[in-house]
Amino acid sequence: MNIPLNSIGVGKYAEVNNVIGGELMCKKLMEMGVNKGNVIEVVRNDAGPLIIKVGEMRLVLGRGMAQKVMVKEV
Amino acid sequence: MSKELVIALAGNPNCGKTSLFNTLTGSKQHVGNWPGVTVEKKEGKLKVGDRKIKVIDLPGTYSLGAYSEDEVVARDFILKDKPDVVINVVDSSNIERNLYLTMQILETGAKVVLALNMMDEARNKNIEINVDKISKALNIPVVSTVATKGEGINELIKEAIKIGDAKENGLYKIDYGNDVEKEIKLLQEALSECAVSLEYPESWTALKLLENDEYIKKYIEKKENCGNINEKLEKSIENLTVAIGYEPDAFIIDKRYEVISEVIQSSVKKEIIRKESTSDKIDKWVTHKWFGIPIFGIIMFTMYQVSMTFGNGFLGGKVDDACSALGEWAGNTLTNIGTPELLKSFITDGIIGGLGSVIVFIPMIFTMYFFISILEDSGYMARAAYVMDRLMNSIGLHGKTAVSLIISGGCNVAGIMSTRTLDSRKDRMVAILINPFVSCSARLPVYALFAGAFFSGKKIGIFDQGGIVIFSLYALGIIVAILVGKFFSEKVFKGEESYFILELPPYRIPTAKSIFIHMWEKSQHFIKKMSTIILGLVIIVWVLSNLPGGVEPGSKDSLIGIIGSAMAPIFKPAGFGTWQAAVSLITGIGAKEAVVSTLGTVYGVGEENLTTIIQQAFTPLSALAFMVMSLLYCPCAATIGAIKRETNSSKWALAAVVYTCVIGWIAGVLVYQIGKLLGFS
Repeated sequence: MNIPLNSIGVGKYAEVNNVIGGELMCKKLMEMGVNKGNVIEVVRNDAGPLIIKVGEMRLVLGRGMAQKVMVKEV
Repeated sequence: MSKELVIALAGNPNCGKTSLFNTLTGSKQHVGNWPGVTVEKKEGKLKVGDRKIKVIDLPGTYSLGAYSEDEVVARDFILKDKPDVVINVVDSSNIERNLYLTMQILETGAKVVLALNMMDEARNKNIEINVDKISKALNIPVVSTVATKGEGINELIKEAIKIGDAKENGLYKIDYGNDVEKEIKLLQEALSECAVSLEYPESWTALKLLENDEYIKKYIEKKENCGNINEKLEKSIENLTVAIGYEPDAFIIDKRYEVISEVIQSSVKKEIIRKESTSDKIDKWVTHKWFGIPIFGIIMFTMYQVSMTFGNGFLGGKVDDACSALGEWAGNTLTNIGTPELLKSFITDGIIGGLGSVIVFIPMIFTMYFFISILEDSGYMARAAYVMDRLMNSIGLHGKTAVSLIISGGCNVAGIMSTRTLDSRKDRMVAILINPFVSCSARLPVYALFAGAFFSGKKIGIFDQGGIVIFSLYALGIIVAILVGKFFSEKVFKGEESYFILELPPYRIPTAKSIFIHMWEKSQHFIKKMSTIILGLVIIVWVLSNLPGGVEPGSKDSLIGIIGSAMAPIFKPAGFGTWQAAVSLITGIGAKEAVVSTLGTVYGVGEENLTTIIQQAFTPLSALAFMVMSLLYCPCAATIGAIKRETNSSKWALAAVVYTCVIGWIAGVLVYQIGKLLGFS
């Protein structure tokens, strides 16, 4: 089942299914490696933006953006 | 003699591209701007044997899309200026993501050498990379390097020269599958009708159109004979969406990653360890929900404290002594050799008095930039944006705005330039428009003079009054910036979406060399400013205060006195309605340091005696109002220019001048009038 990335808890891993919303920034996110099949680790997920880990890269992601990344927990 | 070889360095942010550039070119660098945009352009030269090589450092980007000016600059250079070789610098410890840019560079048809940089970090992470296999898979030369230690640099240059001189260009092509390739071909044919005027390769342009690249779409629209391409493109995209099940732009990105993962699988061995790295451990504290902001506060406090006590107090004091000694010596020598009084006054009061009052602050500016360079190079600045986002968000601003405000503490122009990292127009406009309220280091001379004259030496509790006054001025600047920012984001640019994507690079211990290069790059413009704008203003002020002939220099009847007297009534409600104060505020628009240098010149004294004169001309309360005014009123000329360039609008630049002046005046008047009501003087 697909859920938005910001509902994944800290320390959990999730596999990206797709990035919804056609804005430019969604595409940029995909070009940075948040695209189909990649596994993301959620490092921080409290009030502010999320910190996620994609491969070796740590990324800060605004909550609004994280809402658009559809994933399933793995 | 063979011709000069042009090498472009391309790579992701934080891949060590700058260290490689520094290692390659040493001190032979030239920093300028790319034509038409405010992206920094760095060029350097080197010589291998008798071969001259020019190296151009392209802006660090994740892709060759059109998400920012940086990316457009990088790809236009590769496609239009056609460098002989592109060295693609890759962070080996993060190779998969980095290869995305490589794919895009290869697709431009450029000759590429891949530099697998930071090999040492990759080894530490147990990532094993087979250089030969990557080279074979991508069909380009690959060299492993550690730029900070100079490893692999000679080989890299050798490969670059070899491939640069070779005629053949092994073309690399990703197979996007029949459906996409068919549409590319169709679009390519359509493009060939208007190819005469096309500055990009046709197949590349066709691919970019399918990727929905706004920049290229607009570019094509403007071309003649390319009119009907839009209809064809829409149809192509429609066909593809049906055929592959989702939008072609996403499909193309996925396909590139698919190719990358094939390359990686054949050539990279990696132990998957889900283990905490050192960066993770540091981040646990630094980005912590509760500790993050206090840590940030301590770092900022330390930075300003050391800049003030060591940079300004200790080093600045030494420079001050040297300046006074020079002034005295020059005065005596000039008298001894019988120099005319007028020329003597020009040199001692005008040049040495005026400029000297500003030069003493150079050490402080260097110290501050030393810290800012460490914060940027170590990777902390990105964490600061994260930590501050929560705080800033609650008032409708973006975390990266906080970082631009910190940089503005060095110089407003640099702060405004740093807003380029903000992705949405709204966030960026707001950040640009509030940056001028931050106390830059050029305003410190004003504070130091006035706080020194009236408040220093008196204690409140254990704290020095002068220090408290200066700190309050910093705080006031930031509070005004935030209030104005809140107004702009709620009333003027409302409803626009804001984004936050930011990479947190691994923490690195910055090398001394990179910090000094960085620090020098940033602070040299103060020295340039001193020898140009400020020197110019000093001379103008001196001349105006000695005209018309026969007048008592620097008196009310001199030209400058007349100008100042005309302006003075405006500032009367704020308590400093003297013509000297008015004149100094006018020249302060040229450069903020000029406020002090002008006072030095019109009162005809050096810095030491200036304090005494200020104590007579101002009261503590009017001095405070004057400092508030100098903080908030009109940004300096360079900042106004930066606002115009970065907002791309003269109207906004003009608006900034108007609202800052109005806010500055009101704040000054409020301080003075309320202070008077409370019984201060």
